[in-house]
Amino acid sequence: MSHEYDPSDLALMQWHDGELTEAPDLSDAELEAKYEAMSMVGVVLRQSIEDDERGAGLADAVMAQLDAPSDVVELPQVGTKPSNDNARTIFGLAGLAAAAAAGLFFWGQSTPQEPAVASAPAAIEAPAEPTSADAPRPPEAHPADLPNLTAQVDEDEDAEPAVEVASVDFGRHQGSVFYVASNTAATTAVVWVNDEDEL
Amino acid sequence: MRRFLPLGLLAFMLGAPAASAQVDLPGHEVPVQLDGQKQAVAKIVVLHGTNDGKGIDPAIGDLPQLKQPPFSAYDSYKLLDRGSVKLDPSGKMSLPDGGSLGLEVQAADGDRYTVVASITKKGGKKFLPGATVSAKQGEYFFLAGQKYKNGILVLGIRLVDK
Repeated sequence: MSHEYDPSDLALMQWHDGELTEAPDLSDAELEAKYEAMSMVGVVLRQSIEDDERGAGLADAVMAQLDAPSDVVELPQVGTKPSNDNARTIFGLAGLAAAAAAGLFFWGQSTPQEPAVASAPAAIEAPAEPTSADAPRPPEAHPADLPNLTAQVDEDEDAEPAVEVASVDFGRHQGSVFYVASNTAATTAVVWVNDEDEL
Repeated sequence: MRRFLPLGLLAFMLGAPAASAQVDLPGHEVPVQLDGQKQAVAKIVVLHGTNDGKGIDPAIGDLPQLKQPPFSAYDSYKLLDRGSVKLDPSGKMSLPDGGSLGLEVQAADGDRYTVVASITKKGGKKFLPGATVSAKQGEYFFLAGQKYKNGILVLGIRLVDK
């Protein structure tokens, strides 16, 4: 089939939609039938859209929201708090821990130091005290155990002590040097060797 | 918590020198020259300290130190021996366990002696290589801790003029 003027399907649709100023040649029966079919399809499609109410008012609602005077759009409540939202609890506990640490730090800094002279033990031990469960050990010398010692040392601060241990070579053992109050105004020195422990 | 770290380091630094067996304690100046005219005698009591509940042997005499620490670790003291050792300038005394006590006067200044005491066990093994003590005449000092018959030996030493 050949035509002197054979407009394309696009030209037929443009003509149907009124987009062409020059009418195509529809003298051919086949082209005329095609044009009428396009028109019929258009009518059916428009009718079908008009009969469908699912999208009715959607565009108007969107446009009404856009034209609303307030910029804040209140969103509906989506749901309750998520189950993994522990941020407030974690930050709260971290804050409490930091406050407690700071308090302990400043409390420790403000604790007064014990005077060195008053708490000085009478025993000078060297080297470290060994441990033995069965053997009796020389007890720790505390100021409370030696009530006269500190007073005597204070009174005779300038006086030379009656007995003084200048140095001790304990060899392969460990030991301690004690100063014990005696019945005189002086103190007695005790060099105590721990027999059960050899270095 | 961070305070414990520097405290621990400080304790370690202070404790490290104590690991040495040789201990030098602050003392007065020891005269280098010994007065050749002056000799001394060491009066020694040898005690046996135990925890057998018998108390302090009256033969020991007046030694109230035995009721105080560190001697109070044992509740009973018995006199084993009493002796005198002439120091010119050194001398020895046998001990009940077969060992010996050695004393050597290093200096004498007025009524004050500087003496080095040592204990040697039976067989020649040094138990206490040396303790340098400066003592006034007549004042006791003690060497203690050596194991002996379920207890310890306590040596009370005082130096007097010859």
